[in-house]
Amino acid sequence: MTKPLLQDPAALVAAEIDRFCTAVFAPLRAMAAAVTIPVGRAPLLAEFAAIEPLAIAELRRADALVVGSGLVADPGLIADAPWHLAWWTGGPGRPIEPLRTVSDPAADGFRDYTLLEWWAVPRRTGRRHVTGPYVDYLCTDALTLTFTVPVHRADGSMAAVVGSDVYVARAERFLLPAMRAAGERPVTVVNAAGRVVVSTFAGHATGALLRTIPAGWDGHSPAELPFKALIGPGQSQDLAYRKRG
Amino acid sequence: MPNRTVPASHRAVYAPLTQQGRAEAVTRRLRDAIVLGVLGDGEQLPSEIDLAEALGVAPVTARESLQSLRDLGLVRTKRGRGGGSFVRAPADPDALLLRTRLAELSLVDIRDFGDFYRAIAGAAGAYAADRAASEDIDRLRAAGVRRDVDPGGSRRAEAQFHLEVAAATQSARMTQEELRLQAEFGPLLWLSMASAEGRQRSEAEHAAIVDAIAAGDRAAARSLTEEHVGRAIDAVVRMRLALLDDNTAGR
Repeated sequence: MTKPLLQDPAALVAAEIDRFCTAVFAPLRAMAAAVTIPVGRAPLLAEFAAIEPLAIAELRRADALVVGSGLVADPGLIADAPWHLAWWTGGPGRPIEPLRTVSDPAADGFRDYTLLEWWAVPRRTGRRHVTGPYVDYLCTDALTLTFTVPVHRADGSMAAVVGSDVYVARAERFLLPAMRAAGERPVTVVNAAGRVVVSTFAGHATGALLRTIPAGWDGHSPAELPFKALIGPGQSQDLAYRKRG
Repeated sequence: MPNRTVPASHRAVYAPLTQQGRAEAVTRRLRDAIVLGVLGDGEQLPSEIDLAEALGVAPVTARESLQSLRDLGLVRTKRGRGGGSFVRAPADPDALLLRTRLAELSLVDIRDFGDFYRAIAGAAGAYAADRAASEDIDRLRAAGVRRDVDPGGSRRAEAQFHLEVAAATQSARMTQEELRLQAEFGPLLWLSMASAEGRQRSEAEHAAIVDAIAAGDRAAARSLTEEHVGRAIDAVVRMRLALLDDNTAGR
């Protein structure tokens, strides 16, 4: 390592997590601001036309971080389109297309998204949320992080969420260089539940659940984000390997 | 291609591709087989037409893939009588593997594969404990404890040991899945064989697995196999992380 250690490695990694989440959340805030929920009447689908170009811009990002993006409305919100998902998928090397979902609650393929974490948590808390790592069987079919931001009616109730899907593999690519550069100690990034997002310690498998912070490890949480950077004890087996290799 | 005399390891190489056959997938499969040593130095590959038919792809796809293998220096083609495409074993298979294949994978890919492979290999161990006869045990022991000293030979021995365990389950599906997973992940799975220490530990673990199978102890056979495969996957993860450092240093 050639970089001098200016701060605690946990703080450096926490700052990188913050940078990663901001990269996904900032455009979502703009997307949420592009939606106006009328007072006293149900909006029509056409009133959400501003979402499509913003969602597609996310899929065309130069950093290729986002693989799905759009708006999911409260089931009863849109007068002419109940259970509506204005959601697009695709990206570099893949065509951009609207996600097809079953909007008839009586059909076999119907899934009630109001039960899912990326909807239920912003609805309960009124705040933005990151779901995952989880296997997203509705959309990406892969280990995914879903970022959602609530859109509220004038009375404060949640009318919709705007959101973006990020493959955990992409999050990994974003975070790993800083995790390696932060120093000699192994680093593990977990979500609020303790599920491993990415680790430089081979014993912490992606997706594994660390119910408590392992003995000898220190945690550091970035402000207001549901992730934690865990820094392991000094010389690990991994590092011994690294020196040999 | 003559099917009856093709050994099991070769059948996996020439099994039809499950996804839409593409040149890239064909190249990857043949490349892994050559680097792993399943296809030996100087061995003749099937003709373009036969290769295309065996893999269920268009002849043009097979041609494209052979061209890629020539570009990689893994195949050489002779024209005329007695001509055809012949395997050129790489001088340093480990370096080639690390360069071309491991760098493409995320930790998510490695873990996802590893968990699934561990589930299959562990289940195969459990069923083998129920079903292996004494002659199967002898073969398993011979396959598992080879005292191979070079990484390539040890990787082949490792792959064959797990195939033998799968075959001892008497389940064709379980054996096919074992073959399919080994073909998909290729030689990366047994990169831990690169060190003498890894090879010795692996042989000791095989011996313990065979003992559990011989004793008919399905729980022990399963857990020992899961631990054995888990350690191999951890080694792949560590090598992937080390590669990241090399890339960062080179920037």
